Amino acid sequence: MIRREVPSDACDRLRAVDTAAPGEIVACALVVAAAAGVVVRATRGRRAARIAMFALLTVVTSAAAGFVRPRLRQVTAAPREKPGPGTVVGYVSSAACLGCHPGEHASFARTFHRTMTQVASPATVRAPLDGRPLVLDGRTIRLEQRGGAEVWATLPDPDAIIEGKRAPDVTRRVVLATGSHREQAFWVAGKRSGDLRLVPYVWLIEEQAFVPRREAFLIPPDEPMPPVRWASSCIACHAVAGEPRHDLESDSFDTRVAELGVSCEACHGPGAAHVERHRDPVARYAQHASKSPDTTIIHPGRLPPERSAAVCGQCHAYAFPRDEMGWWTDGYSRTFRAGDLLEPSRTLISPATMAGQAGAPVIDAPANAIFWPDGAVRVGGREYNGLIASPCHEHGKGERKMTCLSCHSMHGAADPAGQIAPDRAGDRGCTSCHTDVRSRTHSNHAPGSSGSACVSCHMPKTSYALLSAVRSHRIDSPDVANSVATGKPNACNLCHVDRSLAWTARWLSEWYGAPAPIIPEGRSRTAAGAWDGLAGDAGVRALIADALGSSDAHAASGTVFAVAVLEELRRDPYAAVRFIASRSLSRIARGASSAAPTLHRPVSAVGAGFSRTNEELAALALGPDGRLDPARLRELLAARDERAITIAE
Amino acid sequence: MSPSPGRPLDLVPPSASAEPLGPDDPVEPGGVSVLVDRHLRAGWWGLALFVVLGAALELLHAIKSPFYVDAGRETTRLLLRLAHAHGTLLSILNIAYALTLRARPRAGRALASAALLASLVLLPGGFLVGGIWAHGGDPGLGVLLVPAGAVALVVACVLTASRTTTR
Repeated sequence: MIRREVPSDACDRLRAVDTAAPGEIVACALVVAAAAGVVVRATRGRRAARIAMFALLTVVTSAAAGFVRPRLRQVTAAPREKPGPGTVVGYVSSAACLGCHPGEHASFARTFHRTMTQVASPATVRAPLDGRPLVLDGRTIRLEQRGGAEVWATLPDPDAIIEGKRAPDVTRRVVLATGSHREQAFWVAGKRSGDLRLVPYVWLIEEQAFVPRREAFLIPPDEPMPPVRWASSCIACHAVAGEPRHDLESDSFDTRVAELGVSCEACHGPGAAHVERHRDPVARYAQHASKSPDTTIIHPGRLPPERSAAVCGQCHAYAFPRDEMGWWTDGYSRTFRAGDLLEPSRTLISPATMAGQAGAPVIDAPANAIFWPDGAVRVGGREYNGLIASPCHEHGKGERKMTCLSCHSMHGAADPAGQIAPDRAGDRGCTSCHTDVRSRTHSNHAPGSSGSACVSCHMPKTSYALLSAVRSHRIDSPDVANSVATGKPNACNLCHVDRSLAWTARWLSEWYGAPAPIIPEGRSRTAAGAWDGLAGDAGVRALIADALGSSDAHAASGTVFAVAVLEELRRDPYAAVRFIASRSLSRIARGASSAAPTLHRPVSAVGAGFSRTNEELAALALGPDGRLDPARLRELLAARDERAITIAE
Repeated sequence: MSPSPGRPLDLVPPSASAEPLGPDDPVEPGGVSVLVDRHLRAGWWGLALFVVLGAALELLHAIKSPFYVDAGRETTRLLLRLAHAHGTLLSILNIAYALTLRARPRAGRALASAALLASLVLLPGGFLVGGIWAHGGDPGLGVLLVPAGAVALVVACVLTASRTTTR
C-alpha cells in the first residue's frame, strides 16, 4: 500500500508563488494609468484613434498574459524540510560575493564543492526522474518528477526500517541531493522534524547507473548499512556553518546552515563585515591602492601554512569534535572559521588516538577502517591527515612548507575534479621546491612517461573512497618492507602489477640503495597484483581492482594478467570490489576494442607483449591459457586476509 | 487632404457638431505645433527621468547593493537596465518625432502620436516594474506591458514612416 504524504501547505505555497504582490499590482496599474492618460490626451477629439489605440493595447496585453501566466504557475517553492537559515552572525552567503568578485564566483561555481549538497530539483538531481522501478530486497523504489520542478521518491518507510518495524511504501518529496561528481544520494524527510533519511539507491554519475547504496560503499556483505542522517553525518562538510540543533528529548533537528554546499565563506570566513565595508566605493579603491591585507576577510593563500591547510582540513581530515555535546547543537559553526587552527575545535584522529590515547575520543570504528598499520590514512577525502604527516609539510619552512595550495586551487583550476592549480600541473607542484637536477632525473623511467611523474611514486593510490582508489597525500617513497609489514600496496607494484615484491626490492636497491627486505616465500614468488588482488584484505582488493583497470598498469604489465585477476574479483564477496572489477574490465574492453587480441585468447597468441617463461607464469598464478591457475588460485584464496573491512568514508 | 485655412490650430474640435476625425486623418497645421510641443516635452522630461534612473543604477553598482548585484538578481539587473535603455532611447525618439513633425507636418497623425507616447510609458515602465518584482529567473507581471508598448512603437513608426515624404 502506498501512503501519499503531501505536505499540507504545498498548495498554499504554490498559490503564493502564483499570486502577484500588492505593490506589484499597484505599480502595474500606475503604469497602465499613465499610458491611458497620455493616449487620452493625444487622441482628444479623435474617437476612432482612441478606440483603436485602447483596443490594440488591450489585445496585446491580454495575449501576453495568456502566454506568460501558465509559465509562472510552474514556479515551485523549495521543500519546507530543507535546512533553515543559519543563526551565526556574519554569514551572508556566496550570493553577496558575486557583485564584486564575478570571476572568482564563476570559477568556484564550476567546482564540485558548490554542489556538495543542493536542494533537490530536476535541475540539480543528476539521475533520471522517469519513475523507473529500482528493486531492492523485493521492494520497488522510484524517483520521479512531479508538479513541474519537484522530485519525489517512493520507498519503504525509512523510519520503520530503522525501528525494525514493517515498512509500508511511502511517497515523499526529495528534499536534498548530496554529491554531483562521482555519485549522488537523495534525502527525504524522516518522521521527526528536520530528520532527513536516505533513499536506498544512489546514482553513479560516470556510469550513469543506479546502485543500491549499500553496494556503493566498502562494507562486509553481511553487514547492514549504518543509518545516516544528513544533520549529523553530512552537515559539517556539505554546508557552510552548519548547525544540527539536535533536540535530545525528541531526537529531532532544527537544522540551520549559512549556505548549502561548500561555498565562499567556508574558505574565506564570514563575509558580512567585508561586504559592509566594501559597499563604500572609497573604501574599495583605498583597499585596491593599499599594500596591506584586508582584515575583514580571510585569504587562505596569505595565511601561515598551518592555518592555510586547516581551511581545507576542516573537511578533509578525520577529526572528532572536542565538545561533542556542543557540536550537536552548533556543529563547528561557533568554534571554527576559516583562518583558525583545527586543534581548538576538534581532535585529529590518528592511530594513537584510536589505540586509546589518554583523553582521546572513542571512535566507533576499527582502526583498520581508517588507517593502514603504518599510520597512513586509507580513507579518501581525508587528505589533511596525510599532508601533515608528510616530510614536505613537517620539515618545510615558510613558503616551502607544503600546504593544500601548493598544488590545488579553488579558482582558476581547469580540472574541476582534481582542482590542480594551472601553474602546478604535472610535476610543477613538486619542482617548485625540489629544483635540483636529481629531483628531475631520479625516476629512472622514460621522461614524460607516467612512471616518471612525481606523484606516481610518491603519492600512490592507496586510499579508497566512492568506489575508486585515491592518491595518498602522505608523501613517501616506495618501500617493499612496509608493504610486507602492513599489506599496503607500494607505488611500483600498482603499475607493475605483474611483478613480485622481490623484483621491486631488487630495483629499489639497485637504483636507490634501499636495504633488501625480508620477504616471505609466498609473496616473493608471486606477482604483487595477484597476491594483493586475491589474498589481500577487501580494501586492498578494491585498490588492486582499480589499479588493474588503469592505463598506467596496462602500459607496464599488459592486460592479460589484469583480466585474469579481475575476472576472479568479479566474484568477490564485497559488492564494491565486484563493482570496481567490472568497471576495470569494461575499461580494458573499451581500450581493446580497436586492438586485435581478444581478452581471453591463449597466452601464446597474445603476442610479444605477453611472452613469459613458465616461471613467470607461475609467479602470475596463470595457466598457459592466460587464466588463473586453479591450484594457485586456491592457494591464494586460502591465504586471503578475511578480516571484515569497512572503509569508514 | 489639405488643411483647411479656417480650422482652429488646436486638436480640440471647434464644435460638437463637427464631424469626428478618423484615426488616419492628418493633423491640421495648428495641431502639428501642439504635437511638436507635446513630444518635445515628453521627450525631454522622459530623458531627464531615465537618465536619473541610469544614475541610480550606477549608484546601486557603486554601493554594491544586494538588490542589484547579488547572485540571483540577474533578472532584476537585466530588466532595470532594459528600462533605462528603452526609456532613454524612446525619449530621444520622441524628440526626433517632434523635429520630424516640424520638418514634415504631413507626417503628424493623432494615432501615431498616441502610440509613441504610450510606448514611452509602457516599454520602460513594464521593464521597470517587471524587474523590481522579478521572481528568480522570471520577470514580474509588469513585463506584460512590454509587448503592448512594443506594438504601439511599431504602429507609431509605421504610421510616421508612411507619411514622411516630400511629395
